[in-house]
Amino acid sequence: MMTDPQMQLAGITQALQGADVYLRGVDSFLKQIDMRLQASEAERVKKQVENDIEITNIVSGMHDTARQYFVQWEQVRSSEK
Amino acid sequence: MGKETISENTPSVLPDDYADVRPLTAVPDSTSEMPVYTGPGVENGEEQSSESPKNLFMQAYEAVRTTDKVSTIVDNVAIWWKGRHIDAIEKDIQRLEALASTQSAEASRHEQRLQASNDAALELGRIKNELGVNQVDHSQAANRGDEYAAVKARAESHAATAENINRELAKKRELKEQFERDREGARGRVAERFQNNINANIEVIRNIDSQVDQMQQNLGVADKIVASLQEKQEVARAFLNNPSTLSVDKQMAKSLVQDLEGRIQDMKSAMQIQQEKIAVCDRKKSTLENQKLTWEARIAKKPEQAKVGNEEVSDTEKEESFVAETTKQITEREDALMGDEAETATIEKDPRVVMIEELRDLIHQPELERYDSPDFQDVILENGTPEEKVLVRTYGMFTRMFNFLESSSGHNQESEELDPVSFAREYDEVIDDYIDNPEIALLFDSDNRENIEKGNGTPEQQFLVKLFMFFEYIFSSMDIRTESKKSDKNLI
Repeated sequence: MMTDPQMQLAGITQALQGADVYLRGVDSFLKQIDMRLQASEAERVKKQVENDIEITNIVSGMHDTARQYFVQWEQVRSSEK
Repeated sequence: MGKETISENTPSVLPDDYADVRPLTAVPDSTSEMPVYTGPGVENGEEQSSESPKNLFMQAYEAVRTTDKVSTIVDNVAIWWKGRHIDAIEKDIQRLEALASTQSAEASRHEQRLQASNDAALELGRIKNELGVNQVDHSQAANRGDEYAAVKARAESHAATAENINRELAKKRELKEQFERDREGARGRVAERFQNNINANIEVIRNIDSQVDQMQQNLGVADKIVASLQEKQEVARAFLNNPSTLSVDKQMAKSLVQDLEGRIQDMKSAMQIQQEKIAVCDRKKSTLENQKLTWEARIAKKPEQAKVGNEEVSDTEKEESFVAETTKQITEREDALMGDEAETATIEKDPRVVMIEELRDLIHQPELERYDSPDFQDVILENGTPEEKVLVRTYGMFTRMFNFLESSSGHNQESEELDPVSFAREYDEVIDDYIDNPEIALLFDSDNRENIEKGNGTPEQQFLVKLFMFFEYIFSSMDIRTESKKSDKNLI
């Protein structure tokens, strides 16, 4: 399959240039992907920490409630006597 | 009489153990970190082995307090929240319901009897009128009045007790419902936070998916470029291998083939990097998904555990059996007093009553009368044998009880007032000491026991053996207790 060598040369040069464009672009493409992943992970961790703090507060609130409950219970109990 | 005392003092609804829940107040207030419990029962191994609700609570509390991962809190809280205390209160409520209905039934039984007595008196008056007998036997009338008043007082006392118990019930129910509402509310709020965490994970997973998708597309482009480079490389190779190609052109073709080869390798390594990145993303995604599944399972409402009842019955059951016995005795004596022979005949004697009567006969032996003297008691408590010491303490209990029973039948007006519940409580420890005393336990070896029952042995020994049989009877009718304790172990 032989065609005009000039044409072939042009085709090869174009293919090489296409690969160069891709290779130049791939770094920044991957950097962008990394950035997006990191941002979304950071957001997730932030939300989770907030939720964890709230959960801890709720749990200590429950401790207080339970304490009050048992105090009341003691009162009911002692009022029997 | 002791009845009024009963109505003023609603029978206890909580075993003594629960009083010790109070150490909770030792938990310091803290909003920034989990409260630290510093009271008893935390690091104490022997306390841990105990199964009392107090200790179960402490264990559950400790599990919550020291938990490192907040994500395990929901589990721990569920255990703690579900708490034996709720079970205990439920049990109390059931017990109170039963007590209230017994008391109401007693009250209405007495009222019916009063009604019947009134009807009978009217009928008797009518017959007397018809017969023209108008003499009035004043002593009979007075007796009737006394008896009538006694039954009436009894009915009122039972009704008042029932009313007290019902008030108590209402308070307990309200408290329990409030606690359960709080518990559900808190649980819901915790679950909501976990749902937020799940949603955050879902968001990240979506983002990962879209980034992976872009990389896949980019890889597709790279594939095409590589294919094109390889195609061009073939062309250059063919040119290189063509014999008619000039050697200068061959040089150029050769360097082109090398250039193309270099680009192909660069492209392949760029693709490799992306593929590795995709693999990293996949791993991250599956971690997040697992975490999400774990959380979802955690906040899914688990079916309520089967209700555990009947633990911690010892104190209450003791009290109850005392109350039951005394009530039974009172009823019987009342029936005798009312001269209602038919009714008395139909009541089968409770074995416990029979035993109590035997015990009374034993304790009233002349040899044991000296135990009644405080001086003798002091001597015994200092220098007596173990069985004498135990007898001193139980003797006081039984004489007081018999005096009370006799006073309720009108034989002994001088005796003290006695509230069966506080009475049982007062002697709770005495009974425990007696049952747990290893030296006393020697008396209950089957050989010794048989021998003593035959009438050999001191009056003290006879009394203690009889007493032991009495307790044995009472406790063996409580088999449920030991069984439920076993099943509790499985649940922990």
